[in-house]
Amino acid sequence: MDRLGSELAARVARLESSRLRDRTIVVAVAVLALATAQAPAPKVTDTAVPIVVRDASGTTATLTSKGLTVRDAAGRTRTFAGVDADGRPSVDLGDASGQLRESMYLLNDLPVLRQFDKTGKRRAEIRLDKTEDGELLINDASEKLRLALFRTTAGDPQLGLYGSDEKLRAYFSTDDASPYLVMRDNAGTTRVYAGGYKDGTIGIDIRNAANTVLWRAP
Amino acid sequence: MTDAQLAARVDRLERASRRERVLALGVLVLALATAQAPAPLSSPRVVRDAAGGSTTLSASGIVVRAGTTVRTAVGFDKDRNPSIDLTDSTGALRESMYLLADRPVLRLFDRAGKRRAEMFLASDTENGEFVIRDAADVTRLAAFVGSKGLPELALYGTDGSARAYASTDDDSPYLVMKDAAGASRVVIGGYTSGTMGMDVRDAAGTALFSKP
Repeated sequence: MDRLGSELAARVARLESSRLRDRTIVVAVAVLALATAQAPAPKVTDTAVPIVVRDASGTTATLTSKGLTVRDAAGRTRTFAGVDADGRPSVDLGDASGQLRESMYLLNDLPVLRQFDKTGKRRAEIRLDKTEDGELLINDASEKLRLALFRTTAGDPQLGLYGSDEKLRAYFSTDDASPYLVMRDNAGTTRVYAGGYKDGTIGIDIRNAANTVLWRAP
Repeated sequence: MTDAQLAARVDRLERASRRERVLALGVLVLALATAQAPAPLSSPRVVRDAAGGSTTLSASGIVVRAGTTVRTAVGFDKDRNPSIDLTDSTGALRESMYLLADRPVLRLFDRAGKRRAEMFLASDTENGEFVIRDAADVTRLAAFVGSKGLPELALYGTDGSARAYASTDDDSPYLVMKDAAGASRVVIGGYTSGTMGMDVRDAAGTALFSKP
């Protein structure tokens, strides 16, 4: 081989070597790009794209146009704050099984805070009623009302105790003239009355099941 | 093919090779500059205002701060309970709605951090309770359904002992008033015998007055 031939052979050898290296680099870069490429990050003002923040445990917080949802690693909703599926402003807390246990929301624009048992029954709540008077309600496991603190339709404050049949057994209330305590039997008959009577007097009486007064004072 | 032609072809190859290398390096730089971790972990997002307020969205929820003081937190609390917490300007927790070991609780705290009012479901029966406490964290009033399933309103002394309670079973309601020693002094309503009436007793529990 002459001098030119030797020189060309060396250049070709370098070329072959460098092309092989370059091809390897290009393939590696292509693989890297395909493996890691992501769409451009959405702008914060883009309401169409939820913002999701995730930690190493798998817990996520998702911010959408409807509000904030925090889910545990199992994907169960544990906290929600925003506008719920029925369009109501709402704050909801769910237990580890995903069951809704506590909710504060506006029901037909009336504020309610409800606490639910494991089976989803309403057991305690504080709310404003239709007349926008405040009330506290406690229900049993059958979701029957057993205790209530509220204002009557006449506007008087009242404590009511109810049987398992949800019928009123006792109530303690007052109007501007005088307070009164009423105790009833399971038939709904008043058996004890203490406090102000409608005639303006104040006293106490005990009655039998036929509503006949057995004793009265004064 | 002459040596000159061969040399020209090798020249072209070398130029093409240099061009491709520059291109490959450019792509590599671009890939390294724009590559993101494929893992789904993501950093908290923070929104700040000129007054020093900020809202931080993390995987645990949202924390709103005035300066460095947390005022509102929504999501998982430090004990991993789902929670909504409201704190005052000193950073003291004043109102919290949360699930304590999956049990719903709403608590209102005073400035000293004492529970002063709360509504919750009991840990054993899941019965609802509403409780008002004094500054010493002693229960003074409670409205609840008890362990026997009976609704009850109870009033307590500063020692936490019940002084009066009104309740009902399905047969009849009853009201009991006790003295400081815990003795019933006034009973009105249904007795365990099935009758209804009232009596007033002395400290030893002896009826002084009974009707009917």
